[in-house]
Amino acid sequence: MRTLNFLLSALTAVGLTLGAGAARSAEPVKIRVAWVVPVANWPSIMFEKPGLAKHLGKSYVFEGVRFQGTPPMITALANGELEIADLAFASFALAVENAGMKDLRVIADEFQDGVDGYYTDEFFVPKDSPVKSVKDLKGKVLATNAVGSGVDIVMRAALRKNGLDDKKDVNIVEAAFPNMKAMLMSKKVELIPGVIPFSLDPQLRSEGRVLFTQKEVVGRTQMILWAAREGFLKKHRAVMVDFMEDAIRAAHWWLDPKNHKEAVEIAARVSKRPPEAFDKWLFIKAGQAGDYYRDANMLPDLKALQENIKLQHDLGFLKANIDVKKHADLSIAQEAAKRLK
Amino acid sequence: MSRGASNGASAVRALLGALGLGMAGWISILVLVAAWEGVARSGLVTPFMLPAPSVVLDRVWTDAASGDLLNNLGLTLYRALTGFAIAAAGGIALGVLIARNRAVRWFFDPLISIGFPMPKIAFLPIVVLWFGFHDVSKITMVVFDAIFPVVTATIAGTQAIERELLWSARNLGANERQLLREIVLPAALPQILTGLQVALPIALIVCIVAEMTMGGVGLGGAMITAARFADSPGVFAGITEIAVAGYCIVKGMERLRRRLLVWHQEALAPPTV
Repeated sequence: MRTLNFLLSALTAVGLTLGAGAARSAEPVKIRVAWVVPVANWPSIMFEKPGLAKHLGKSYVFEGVRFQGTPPMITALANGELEIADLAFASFALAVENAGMKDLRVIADEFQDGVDGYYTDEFFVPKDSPVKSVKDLKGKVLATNAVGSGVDIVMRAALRKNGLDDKKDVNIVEAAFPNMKAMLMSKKVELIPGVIPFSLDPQLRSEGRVLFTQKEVVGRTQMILWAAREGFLKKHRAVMVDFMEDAIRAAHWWLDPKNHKEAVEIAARVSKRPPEAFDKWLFIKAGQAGDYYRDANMLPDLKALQENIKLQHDLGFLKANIDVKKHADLSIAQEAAKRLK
Repeated sequence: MSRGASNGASAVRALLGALGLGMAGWISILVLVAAWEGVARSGLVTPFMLPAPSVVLDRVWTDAASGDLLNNLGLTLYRALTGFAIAAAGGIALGVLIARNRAVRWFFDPLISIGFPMPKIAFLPIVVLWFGFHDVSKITMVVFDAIFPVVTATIAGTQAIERELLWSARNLGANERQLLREIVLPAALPQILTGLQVALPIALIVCIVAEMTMGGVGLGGAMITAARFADSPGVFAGITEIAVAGYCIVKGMERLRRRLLVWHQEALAPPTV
């Protein structure tokens, strides 16, 4: 009797354990996606329109994680606290080369800078500043959102191309994008990078002056991309295709001019700013008055990315060049896009 | 054995004993470094998470050879020590005034009580707003943080002076200035120096934190730049450089204390710092 009771208890325990394991394996996979700038970065808004994410809550759960800049995402990836990083081209190269993440893969496009007809980042000085050229920045204080970020590397590239040492000839300080206009207007800093939507601020445009643009310094840029580690992609490929299908469906919806009015309303709600702040530029092709280029199927420009990283290496920011093709896996995005045809 | 040979042998034994005692204090550091090297090279962690100390020391050497180390260290020490000097001078003066003048004590006591436990680094954004991003704001933060332990130690030291000393000096015709120079400051000196020894590492810490937050040149700024560039050896090299710099200035302060208090009974006791 005692033996029978023991056997029954053991079988029950095994059954419960197997059941729990089965339940765990059926649980949606958590996908944490980083972002920096609200509205301008897909993860901050892409699923705000209900109905776009058909697999959300079923095969995956989504969590947008805010960072001040792209370099801290490298640490988060290394610690396993992030599944998809919204990296700048510069940070991607640093992650692969300096942080040793040889298994990091480019999987999708966020946006590109310097594409003809679309916005390119601008670098502002005060309107009445004595600084008339990059050379005049010697001895000045410059702002960046994060050392090593995309705009930071572009700014340093501009300095180096003009014979200035970015470590010794200028003082570069970190500040959040929303605070930069005030720092420029109060002359705390002499130069700030202007990224959408902050660069479209009417006061900045009237009281600031563009010293140079990103396109003038580095040409077309695969500015921000989505990157994930190969191990996660292999383990959860089916889930990732579901997620990318939803993300690309969302990108189609947001980029469709028919949905512009509703897109602006959602952007205003999410950012707690008035719709007028987005109406004239959000997802619109209008040169410096419009938005960045965003690929509708979220496919990155690997050729531009390779050139950007080569420039980074040539300017001494990177120990060795990287073969971008070896660090890209676009098959997930391509398979997801096919589902939507 | 002749007396000379015996004395020589004793001297050699004493020297070896002293060296042994000196080395014993470093054994724990050597064990830690050896363990660090072992873990780093074992493959348990990636070089990004924990670079080996040999790699870190190589980076320190590279920084030294390129002049970056001297440049960064020099700027950090300039800011920290300038702020410390201002805090020391201001703190001692204020502390003596508070201890010896009732009205001054009445005014400053609440400010010291509220200000001392407050995390003053929280004022950094305001200090940057008022003073900008250059040395002035960093030195201001150092003064703001370092002055409190100097003031409180000076108050305690001044208030603890035996009244008989003061009475005797007054009876012998000493005026207030002579009292301060010949009695108050020397008698309070041990506690004042204790306050300075507490304030000195605070000055270095606050300076480095301010540099890390504001960026630019300096050990703190170099460390945060390395962190942003995913340059782990650079980060750990910065930590090593800060540790060595901190150790040197703390030891320097300890020696200064022994020299200034050579007349005091504590000079007879072995050092504790």
